[in-house]
Amino acid sequence: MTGRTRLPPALEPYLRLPPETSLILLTGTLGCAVHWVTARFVGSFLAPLRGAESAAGVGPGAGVRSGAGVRGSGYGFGDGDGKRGEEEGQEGQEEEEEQETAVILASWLRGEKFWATEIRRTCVHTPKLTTANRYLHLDFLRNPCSLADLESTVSQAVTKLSPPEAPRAPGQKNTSKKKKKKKRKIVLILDNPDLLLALTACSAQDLYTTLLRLRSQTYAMVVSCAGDAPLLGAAAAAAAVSGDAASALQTTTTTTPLEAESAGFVVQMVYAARFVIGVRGLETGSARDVSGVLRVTRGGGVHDDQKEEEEEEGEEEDEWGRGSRGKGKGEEVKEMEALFLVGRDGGARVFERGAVG
Amino acid sequence: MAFRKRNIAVGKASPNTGENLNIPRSSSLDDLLGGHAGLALGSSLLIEESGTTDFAGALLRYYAAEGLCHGHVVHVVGVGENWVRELPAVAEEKSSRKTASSTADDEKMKIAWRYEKLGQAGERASPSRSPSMPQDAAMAPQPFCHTFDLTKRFVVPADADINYIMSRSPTDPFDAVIKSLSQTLQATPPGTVHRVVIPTILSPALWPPTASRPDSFLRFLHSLRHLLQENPTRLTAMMTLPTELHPRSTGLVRWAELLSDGVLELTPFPHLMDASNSLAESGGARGKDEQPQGMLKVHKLPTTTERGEGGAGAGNTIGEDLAFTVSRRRFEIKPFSLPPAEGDQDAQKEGGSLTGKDVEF
Repeated sequence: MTGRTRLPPALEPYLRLPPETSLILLTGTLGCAVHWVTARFVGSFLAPLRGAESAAGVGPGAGVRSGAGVRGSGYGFGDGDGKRGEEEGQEGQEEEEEQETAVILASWLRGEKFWATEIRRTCVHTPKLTTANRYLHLDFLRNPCSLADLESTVSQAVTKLSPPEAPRAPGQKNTSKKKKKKKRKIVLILDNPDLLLALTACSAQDLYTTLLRLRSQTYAMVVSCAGDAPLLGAAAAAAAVSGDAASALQTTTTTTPLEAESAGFVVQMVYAARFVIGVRGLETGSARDVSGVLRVTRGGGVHDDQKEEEEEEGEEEDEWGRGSRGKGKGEEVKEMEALFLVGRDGGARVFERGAVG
Repeated sequence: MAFRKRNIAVGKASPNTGENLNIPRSSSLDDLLGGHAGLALGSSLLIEESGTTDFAGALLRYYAAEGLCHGHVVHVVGVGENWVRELPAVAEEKSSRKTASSTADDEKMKIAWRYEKLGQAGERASPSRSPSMPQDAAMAPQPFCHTFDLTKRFVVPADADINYIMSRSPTDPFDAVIKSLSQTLQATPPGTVHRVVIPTILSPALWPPTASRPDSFLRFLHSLRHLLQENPTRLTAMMTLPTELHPRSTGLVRWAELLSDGVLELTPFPHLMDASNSLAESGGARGKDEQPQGMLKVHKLPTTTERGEGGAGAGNTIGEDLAFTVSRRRFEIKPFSLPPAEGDQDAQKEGGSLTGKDVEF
């Protein structure tokens, strides 16, 4: 499979562009960072794959193919991968075709350079895409701003990435010519916005509300946050009250506001998310051929999608100019747990438990 | 092996990724830090220690003393000149390290040097430090990594560049630290390397109670992280945190760990362990080794963890049981193993070889 170096095949169904208004939550732990998944999301959204499929004609056939992949082993993408591999050479040619996905990456913990390196591993060259106006990095490491500033910064970024009605800058002219009528899909990726809670810059409720407003401005949203036990302990203790009342009481009395806010935020996000990808270390210690455990679980948001789809089934084609690629709205997210290995070269493999890595 | 970055005057390149390094001075600690043979420039290390001992302080002193030896700018935060006066002096040559490595050589079969660094476990062994290195270092006019003697006091050279940052502000004590750091970074030429040393951060003896509020402490760590990433070839930081007052199970400490690039935890053994010394030594298996003084756990490694490697990979010790021994001249870290039971001959022969990494998944 030629696509192996770019995106792990087992993870690929999840990395596809989700239905509109989706929220995807990524959680990592201290020793097991989730950035490699975040970077692969960016890589998948910006990959030249989109050009190939649109050229091949995305009809009902594409939907069926990806559907089978999600439910099946995830290895049903053979020809798709092959296409992408061949296509890399002609990236320049295809660029005009694949204009409709753009990514805004806002990071609170890592600089632009780090992300450029990580995303480069998925064969996506961010500086080039920045000049093509398809990728924008928002640096909140320098200045973790207030929520109002966050909202205005993201709004500005969205306006910047949206294709203008009439071409404004000479640089944008050639790229936006073909797309005048189609609305561009802008995916907002937030890396560790929960840092704002750690700095006590805002409450979990305010942050959540702001994120809701940001979701309304963008096509979809991917949020990564810390899922460590001390930060979720407050929620776990509340849930365990029925089980062991005495110990739960003890834990809740020592809960600090910081812990309560972090736990509250993550729980809220899980309820809103279409699915959650959690990454954690092995419980049994370390192994030289396993970096950790990756788990995909359905979030509360998946049910909203199903309802919506029943109501407005016929509408999606008109709005985006063509049928939604990849997963249909109500398509079930397959839950899975797998092991992964991220090598020193940054290449990632995802495999079943017991399979040879 | 491709070296991405230029080797600067005082650092050397990592054998693994070519990142520039700034050695914290303890050869076995260097081996631990993700196979980079040192603390990568532009990263920070948080060392947590439980109990009332100050083993972490010894590591911090090595780090500061090594910096002074190389003429780096050393920023000492929160403590006064007395702390610097207690830095260990460079030990005289013919160090204990040499004798230690010679005993190791005796046990080793003669194999091609190329394979020596592969070690028993194949991929798992650290490729960073081949045994030939000490000799190279001795031949060089200025060794990259010094051996320090904890019983002697460092004579601070007159031209040493030490920046004492004492913050007296009761409301936001860390504000002055960041300001001072960024000012010094701007004022010095681009080639200079800076080391930030923060002993026992949040200790009530040195810091006001407001320092441990998240908006103060975590904001400081976030700003420090920004400074480190802004100056990826000039700045490193190392701090110690006593976990008696701030346990690892709190959200505050977890965020501090998330904001640091590397996290180590030292758990010194209670003195009860001393009683078992005689027992283990009578077994003979560990006769030559000094008894470990505590456990060391690696929770996060600079650059490696960020990339998502988890506990896998060469030189990666996340999740392993390690023990440390502090002697006059060494801070030694090695895999922890319980001494074999008295009278069990087979186990005594293999004593020390069974560690956590033998478990198959």
